[in-house]
This record gives sequence, structure tokens and C-alpha cells, in this order.
Amino acid sequence: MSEFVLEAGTLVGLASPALLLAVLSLASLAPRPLAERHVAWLTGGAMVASVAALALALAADVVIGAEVTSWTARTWFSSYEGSFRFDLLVDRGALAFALLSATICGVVSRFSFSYLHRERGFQRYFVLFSAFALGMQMIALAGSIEVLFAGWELVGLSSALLVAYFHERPGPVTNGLRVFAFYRLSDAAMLVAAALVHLHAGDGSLRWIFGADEMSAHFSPSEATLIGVFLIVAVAGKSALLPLSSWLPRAMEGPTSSSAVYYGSLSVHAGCYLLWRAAPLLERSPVAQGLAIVLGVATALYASLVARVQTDVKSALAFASMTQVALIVVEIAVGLHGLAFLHLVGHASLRLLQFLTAPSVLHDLHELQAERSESGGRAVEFPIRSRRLYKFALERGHLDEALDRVVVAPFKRAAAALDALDRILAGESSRRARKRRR
Amino acid sequence: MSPRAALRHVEMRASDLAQPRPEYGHASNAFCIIGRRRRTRGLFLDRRAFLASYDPSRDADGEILKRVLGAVAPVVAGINLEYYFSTVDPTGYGSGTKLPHNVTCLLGVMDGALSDLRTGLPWQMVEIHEPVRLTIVVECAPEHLRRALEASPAVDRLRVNRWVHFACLDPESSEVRELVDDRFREHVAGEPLVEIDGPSARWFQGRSGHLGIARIRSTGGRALA
Repeated sequence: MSEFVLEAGTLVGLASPALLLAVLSLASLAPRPLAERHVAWLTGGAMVASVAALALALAADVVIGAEVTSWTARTWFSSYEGSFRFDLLVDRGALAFALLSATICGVVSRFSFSYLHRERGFQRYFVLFSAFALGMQMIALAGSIEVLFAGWELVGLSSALLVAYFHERPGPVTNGLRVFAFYRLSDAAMLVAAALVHLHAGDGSLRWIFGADEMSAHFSPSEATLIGVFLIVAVAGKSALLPLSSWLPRAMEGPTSSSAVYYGSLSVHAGCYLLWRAAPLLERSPVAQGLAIVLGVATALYASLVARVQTDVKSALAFASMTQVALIVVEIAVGLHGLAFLHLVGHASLRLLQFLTAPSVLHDLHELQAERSESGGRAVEFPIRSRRLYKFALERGHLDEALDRVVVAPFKRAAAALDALDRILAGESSRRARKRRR
Repeated sequence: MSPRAALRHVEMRASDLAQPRPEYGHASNAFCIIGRRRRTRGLFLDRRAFLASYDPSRDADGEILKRVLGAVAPVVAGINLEYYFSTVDPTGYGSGTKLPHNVTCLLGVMDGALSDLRTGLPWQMVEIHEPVRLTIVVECAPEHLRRALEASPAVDRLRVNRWVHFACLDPESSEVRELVDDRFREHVAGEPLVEIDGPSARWFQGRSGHLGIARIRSTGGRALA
């Protein structure tokens, strides 16, 4: 009985956002958008079903007390080198994270019904939001690296499209593209890690990197290091670790509710969660472990410094959440797994609330000031005395400019050179090629 | 919906974090009546009027009117024009939709991660506003209004450039004169006033959009709680 509840609950938890995404996307093809009321019913129903099913599954898991459950649902496709399977790997941690994601998605979708009322693109928002909810469930419950990658992509794509939600202004579109570029880098690293797992283990099951015993049978320490480093790059892109962190404040272009759920609470923690599950891999490779610690500590110091001088509330929150996410990465890397998970859940919930109350920060401030003047309290003073440090923090460490100069500009030059070469090889005269490039 | 439930609904809106329209402020404002309150008692004005008290019977030389007009007119005209411009150009003069607003320096809002400070009213506040210029109706003799306008050049400039309209309500009768191009002209009423046997909910309940002015005949019962 408990096994059935566990299996059914997990599948319903995963299937309800998938169904929602399918229905809303199909409805978007119709010439007229659905009524807001209907979108709200559909979304609300799917969210409630997902939360309830996952809560039941978690309860069943506690009753059974099993270690790890894994199902192979079906083979996606196979080639002579191996097969790609739709696997779920379900244990208590996975169910807890899935339940956390589903609950937060549910709360934020309820918030969004009123918040986006009468907004153009109401339905588009919920299509993207359901893609995100599905992506988070896939990341949480993934049993093979293919499922993980698909979820990772859904989260990334919907994130970039929601940053560019107000596409009638140029700012959101530019920043959406930048977020997308960072995510592609992260995705590429994830894809390399997936290929390496396939190469050494024969298939893409995450058991090889999430389970300590199975892993040692398949990977030598150097192979574990290589996979670990690529995983960390993937995590750094998604969780805004240095040097891939400058996109996070730029992502604050969408409606407040989407910023809250992506950059305050769930999407930034997806990387932490992946690292948390891949902890056995880190333990096997001191190099990967060291890299995670160094990136985490550096990011925490950097973000904590920068957060103190931000002038707008959403950037301040973005850097504050970057600090905590980096600390969670450090906790995982040094082996404090229980603490890391607790930190993740607490931070996701607190930051969600802070983001959702960000628009009324002036209102809160006035209440606070009224209380202060009654109690005779003092304002908090800024702790940085060094002027150079202050400027560094104000300029966010010149990270964006440095990336533009060191990575983007040479990349563009190389692309232009290749383009010219291509035209010459294709028989076009170099003069015409230059003309066209201009 | 019972009056109690309606009150609870409004109070919930005021403290709902997800509500971009906690209240509509001065949206739909269209006119201002400066005069004795008993002249407008029993009229349903559809929340569209600014009401300022002024008693012409105690102001024989029009000196008080100068002070009242100088204080009231700039405020109500400013409010009306802020709504006017935010409605006719929500992205230029208004501050666009509220959803991506980001409080900066604890003094204003910008759009998303980086933008100019946004001024004016957000789209959610002016969505139901009808962009009309304010008509200020003053209960006084025409020459008193003329002298009060001369005493406040800033207000008079608004009138000359047609950002607000002025009219006089005769203190003794129901005659109204509009001030058009420096001349007073008799105002001819359009449709006859709607008469409702109170409470006013009989007129507005179940209807949205702008309603005409109605005279509510009190039935002696309790008004809508």
C-alpha cells in the first residue's frame, strides 16, 4: 500500500505540472487567450494536486523507511553506445525538495493571479511558470542525467523568457539574452558532464554519481574529478557563483513574483540541490571539493560586500541571496549535508517573502521609522570604511565589464574572423565580405 | 454581497501584498464644488467630485473666496492633471505597469534592473480614469470669482490656458454660469437629473463604469453601512 502511494504520489507530483504546461501551451495556439479565471482554475488545480501528491509520497516514504527507490519509466531512445532513459530516483531528500518546489510554486502562482490581473501576457506568464514548475520537479526527481538535463533546460529557458517578459522595452530583452547566454554556458558544462558519465558508466543513471558505492566501481579519481569540475561549472552558472554571477542582478526585469520564485527561492537553489545530491562525487575528488569551496567562499565574500551598497531593493536582495547560496555550496563541499539542506529550505522561504514584500519596502520603512523614533533607536551605520572597497562594491567588482572585455570581445572577434574565412572559402571576395560585415 | 462582507473585502485588499490596486485614490475625478455643503446634499456624485466648503453668505466682499480658491484650486487642478497625463500617456508621463517596479534609493521606483526614475502614476491606478479636465464650480457671484482669479495669477493661468474650467453657481438660485473666454455664459443643463428613492446603492449596485449624477431622496432609513 505504502509503495503504491509513494509511486503514484511521485508520478502525480510530476505529471500535474506537465499536464498544465501541455494544456496552457495548446490553449495559447487558440486565437483568443483563455479567461483569467480559467487559467487560475487550471493552474490552481495542478498546483494543489502536485503538492498533495508529493506530501502523500513523502509520508509514504517515511512509513516505508526505504533508502532509495528508483524506477525506470521507459527508454527514450537508444543507440549502439547506450540508451537514454526516463528514470526517476526517489529518496527522502528528493521528495522533500520536490515538495518544497511544488509548495513555493503553488504559493507564487496564487500570488500571481491577483498580481498580474488584467496584464497583457497573463496567459504567457502562466505557460512559462508551468514550464518552470515542471522543470523543478524533473530536477528534484531525476534518476538519469537526461531527465536532469531536460529539467535544467526548462528552468533556464522559462527563466530567460520571463526576464524578457516586458518585451516592448529594450532593457528586459537585452538582459534576458544575457541571462540566456550564461545559462547556455552552464548547460554546455552539464552536457559535457552527461557525456562523460555515459562514456565511463555506459548509461546516464544518476546512481553512478549520487551513490557512493556504485560510483567507486565506475569512476577512477581522475574521472570523478573531471565530471565534478564540469558539474561545478554547471552549478556556478545556475546559482550565480563567481565568475558567473553578474547576470543575477540583471535578471530583475520580470514581474516581481517571477523574480521572487526564480532568483530568490528556487532556480538559484537548483544548483545547490544538484551539488547536494552529487556530494559523494565531491568527496571522491579533493580537486572538485576544493574548487567548490574556493568558489563558494569567494562568492560569499564578494556578494556580501556588494549587497551592502546596492541602492535598489531588488539588486540588494539578489546579492544577499547570492551570499547565502554560496554559503550553502561551501557547506555541501565541506560535508555538512544536513545543515546545507536546512539552510536551503530556510533561505528559499525567507527570500521568497522578502522578494514578495519588496514593492512595499517604503511602506515598511515608514512603519519602522515610526517605531524607531518612539523607542529612540539609532540607524545602522555602513560598515565599510575603505573608499576603494566601497567603490569596488558600488561597481559590483567590475565583473560585467571584465567579462565583456576578456570573454565576449575576443569571442566576437573570433566569430567575425571565422565568418570572413567562411566567405573566402565560399568564393566571395574578401572586399565584399568586409562590406557585408559592416 | 452583504455590507459587512463588502467592508471585509475592501480591508483585505488594502493589506494584500499581491494586490497592485489596493485602492483607486482619486481616479475618475472630474469636478470640484466649492460652496455650502447643503447645496450638494442628497446628490450622488459617483466619487468624481472634490468638495470644499465655502459659505458665500458670510463673505460679502469676496475676500475669503480669494484665500479659498488660492489654496484649493492648485491642489485639485494638480491632482486632476497628474491623472490626465498619466492616462493619456502611461509610459511617457505615467510610470507604466507596476509589476517590474523596483524601489531605488528609498525615494522612487525604476523599471527592473536599471532605468530612469519613473514619475507619474502607474497604469494600474489610472486604468479606470477618464481623462477629462477639471471643472471647478464655485458658489458665488460672478464678479467675486473674477476678482479671486485676478488675485491668484497661477490659478488664472491654468484657466486661460484651458487646463481647468470654471463655473459659478448662483447662491440664491440654481442658475449656473460657465466662464468661457473671459465671459460668463449661461449653462444649459443636458439631461434631466435621475431621481432615486434612496439608498444610493439602488443607483450604483451591479453597474460598473461612470454613472450620471443622481438625486437620492432619503427614505429615512439607514444608509448602506
